[in-house]
Amino acid sequence: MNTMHAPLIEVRDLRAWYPVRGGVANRVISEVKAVNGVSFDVKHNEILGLAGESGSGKSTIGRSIIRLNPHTSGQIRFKGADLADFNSREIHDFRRKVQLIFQDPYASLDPRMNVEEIVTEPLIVLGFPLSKRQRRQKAAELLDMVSLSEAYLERRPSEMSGGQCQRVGIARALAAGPEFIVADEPVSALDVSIQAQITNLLGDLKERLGLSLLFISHDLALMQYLSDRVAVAYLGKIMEIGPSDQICSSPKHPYTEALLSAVPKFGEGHRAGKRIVLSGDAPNPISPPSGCVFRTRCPYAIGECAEIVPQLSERSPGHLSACIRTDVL
Amino acid sequence: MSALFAFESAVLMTEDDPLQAEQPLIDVRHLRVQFGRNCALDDVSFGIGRGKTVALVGESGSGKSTVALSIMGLLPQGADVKTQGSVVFDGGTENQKDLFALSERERRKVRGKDISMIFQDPMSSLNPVYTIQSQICEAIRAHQKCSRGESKSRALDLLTSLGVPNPANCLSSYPHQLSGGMRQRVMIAMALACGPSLLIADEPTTALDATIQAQLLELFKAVQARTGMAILFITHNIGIVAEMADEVMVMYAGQLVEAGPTSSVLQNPKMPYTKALLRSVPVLGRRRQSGDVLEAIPGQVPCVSGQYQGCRFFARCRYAEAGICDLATPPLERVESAHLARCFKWKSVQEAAQ
Amino acid sequence: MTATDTTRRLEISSIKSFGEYAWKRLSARPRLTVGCILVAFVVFMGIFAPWIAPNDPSESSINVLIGPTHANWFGTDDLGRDVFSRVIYGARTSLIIGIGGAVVAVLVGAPIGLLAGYLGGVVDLILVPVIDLFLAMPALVLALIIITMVGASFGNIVLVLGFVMWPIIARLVRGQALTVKTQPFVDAAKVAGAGPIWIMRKHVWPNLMRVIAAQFAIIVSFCIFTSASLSFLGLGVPPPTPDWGGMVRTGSDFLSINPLMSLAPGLAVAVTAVGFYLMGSAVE
Repeated sequence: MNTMHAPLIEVRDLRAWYPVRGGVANRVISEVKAVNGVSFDVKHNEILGLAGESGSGKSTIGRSIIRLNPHTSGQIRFKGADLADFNSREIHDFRRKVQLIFQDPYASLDPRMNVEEIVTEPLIVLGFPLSKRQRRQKAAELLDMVSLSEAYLERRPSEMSGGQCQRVGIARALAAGPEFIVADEPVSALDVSIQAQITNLLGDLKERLGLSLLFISHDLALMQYLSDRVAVAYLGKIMEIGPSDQICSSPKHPYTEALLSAVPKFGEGHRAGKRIVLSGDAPNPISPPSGCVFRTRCPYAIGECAEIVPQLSERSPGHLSACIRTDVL
Repeated sequence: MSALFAFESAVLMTEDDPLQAEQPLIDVRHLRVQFGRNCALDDVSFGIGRGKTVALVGESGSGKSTVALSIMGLLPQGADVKTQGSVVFDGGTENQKDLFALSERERRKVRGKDISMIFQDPMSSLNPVYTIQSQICEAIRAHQKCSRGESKSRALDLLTSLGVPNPANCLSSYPHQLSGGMRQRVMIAMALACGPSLLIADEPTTALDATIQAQLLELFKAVQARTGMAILFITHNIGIVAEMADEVMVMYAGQLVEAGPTSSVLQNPKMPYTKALLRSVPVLGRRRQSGDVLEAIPGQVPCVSGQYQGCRFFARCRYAEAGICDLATPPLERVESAHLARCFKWKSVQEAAQ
Repeated sequence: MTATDTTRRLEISSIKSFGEYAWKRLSARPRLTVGCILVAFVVFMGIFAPWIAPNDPSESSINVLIGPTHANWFGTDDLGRDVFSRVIYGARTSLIIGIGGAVVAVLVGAPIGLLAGYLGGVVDLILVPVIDLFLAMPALVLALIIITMVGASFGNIVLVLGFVMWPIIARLVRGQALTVKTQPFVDAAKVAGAGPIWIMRKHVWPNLMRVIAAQFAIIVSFCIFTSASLSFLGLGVPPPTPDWGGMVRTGSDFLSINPLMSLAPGLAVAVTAVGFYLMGSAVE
């Protein structure tokens, strides 16, 4: 197999359904279809943005890829090899290569540990043969990578600001030398000026270390800024995927279009253009609509939308959209 | 005369001007709030004109929520909480009230009836054990005598006017049965129940999805067009400011640092903090190039105690000059007709840029 | 930042000496302060009993059942022993039984609760009914039954008290472990490659320490109280060890002659139990 040219991560028809229990004897009464048939690739040294609102399943997708959540069916391939076929040694290896950055900078750090213990934990559990002194040195190097001084080694999470905690979280993710990082809303809990610091850091790390990232966010402007490609998720499915500039300037799916128009804009020509306001809330992922899952809120929906499940199809090179109304967008 | 001039007068004039044709709806003067030795608000003065939307922008710790809570009279009570200054509501009319001079009982009459407030998290402001109907009716009957049936039909009308699909169904539900967007609509209904002339909205859409946020922003505009109430919109989202506000005030570490008409402040910011804040947010259409960085503001918001010298943004400001900026607090001065900024160096920075 | 945060931080930053610091912390929490003072008082009595007690607690004299005098502050008992000295020495018995029982309870209950809470699934399904079964039985009655079977000795009482108290710890630890295991930092450890044993040891357990410490103090107070009740029913520490519960029981026969013989140890039980309880509930 030619592993060099295979994408770093390939996700094929991923499904993650979670049972809802209730009633007498705690039976399974239905299933939340959090992720319902999702396929995409993440290439080497690429940032793939995954946009979506609450209930879109974007976090579940990210957590399934790094095996933090179980998935129901579908394939996840890492450098061309199926994760399901991994033996324990390969899983151990995989653990070194993939990492996660969390949304809540405080909650993702153990309040009882100091920074040194936090960032060196992956080194210990993954069995890096390092002495205590080497580990401390490595911890200092990791902090340096995220622009924190050695003085922070002894601090505890409660003694740091949100931005500093997030840097420590990133340093921990870098500890074992990963190739792929899932960043789950890494800046949305931070203040605006701190968001910029962390965004810059992520972009810089991608370039310096040759990382690939799955950047999960609900902020499309930030996503366009940082990502090479963007995938838009809605109710457990990918609606549209393509180069970020194309997605944001000429969306080919009505949901992406509505999402973009919902972003309050400022700068040149603000307040121009009519906003598409979607009616109602997203449907319940326990019983998604038939056909296209977006049809209940779509301004362009027609009768066929209830029957045909739209597949992702190429609209321009590398730009795929799952919508049968190719005549309107 | 526009509300902004009234606003300016509040800041720049030491004497009240009896000739001033129209006083603002709410006139906050020299508001100062201290928690222990910590100075949460330092000499904040502004006015909001009738029917205007004023945005209050700032990061956490800037004191923007403290402004809202002091106007509402909801600051935590305690020996170490000190409030100074004055807040005059509806000045120049027979309804004129000096809020800080009122008793707690009179204050309660103002709350909800003249001024109401909605919060970021509707779930924690709604009582989980009562139905929506009983909570909205309670808000209506707190200030108006009316029968149970009347208040119910009023609640129904309110929800209908706020675009709630199936309002009767919504009335009989409990908060946990509603989505985040619906809950926030219920909160807005409760806030509007007695027809307030000022609505304070503290990050009302921050916890919501983008498409739901868009629905609510449109809703705020529609309600304002119908009722003519003024809105103090607290947010950290510059896009929302641009879209909603007539005027904007930027807060930093307990002080107003820049204020003026929205277009003037956003397109032509004078205070370095505002400049940096605007540049640190990516806008749609911008793509990161190799080596490109968003302008980040280094460091943290300082914790300010009583005897603070100099500009509070000094330590993080790229234009700061030791010997000038760290010696005295810069005044909030007029940079354009209605545009105020708090910076010693705005003129030289502007000249250098040209 | 809320106002209370700010003020608390300020208070701490404006403090000069350690004594002042400790006082500020304690005066802000009266329950903890009172609890600590009571417990410290009892522990002091227990440790320095030989120096504080005016007489040997087991030495009889011919002056039986006399009222309070200068030589015998609380009078003497039916065997002519000094009640005051016996109350002071009794602190040792009570503390050892109380703390010992609580230690056993934590040693048994905490691992079971941790396993049930963190591992969940089948382990939880099996352990929870067991915990509930023990919780449903009144501790004193259960202790009575077992003591009757195994016989009342110092060691047995400690073990039995631990055995009837462990479900309280187990249930608490299980609940806390359920909360801690959903925290993102546990996910972070999983992503880093950590297994369940590492996570329980490094993340869950340290974050449980605070609640366990609080509950420990409360269990100590339960144990002291229960052991006193056992002694009162005649199944306590065998004589001649001075034991408060047993003293209350013997004294109850002579209430009209020397009421202090019963009241003094009774009060001692109350003070100790309340002290530990306040300490634990304040930390919780």
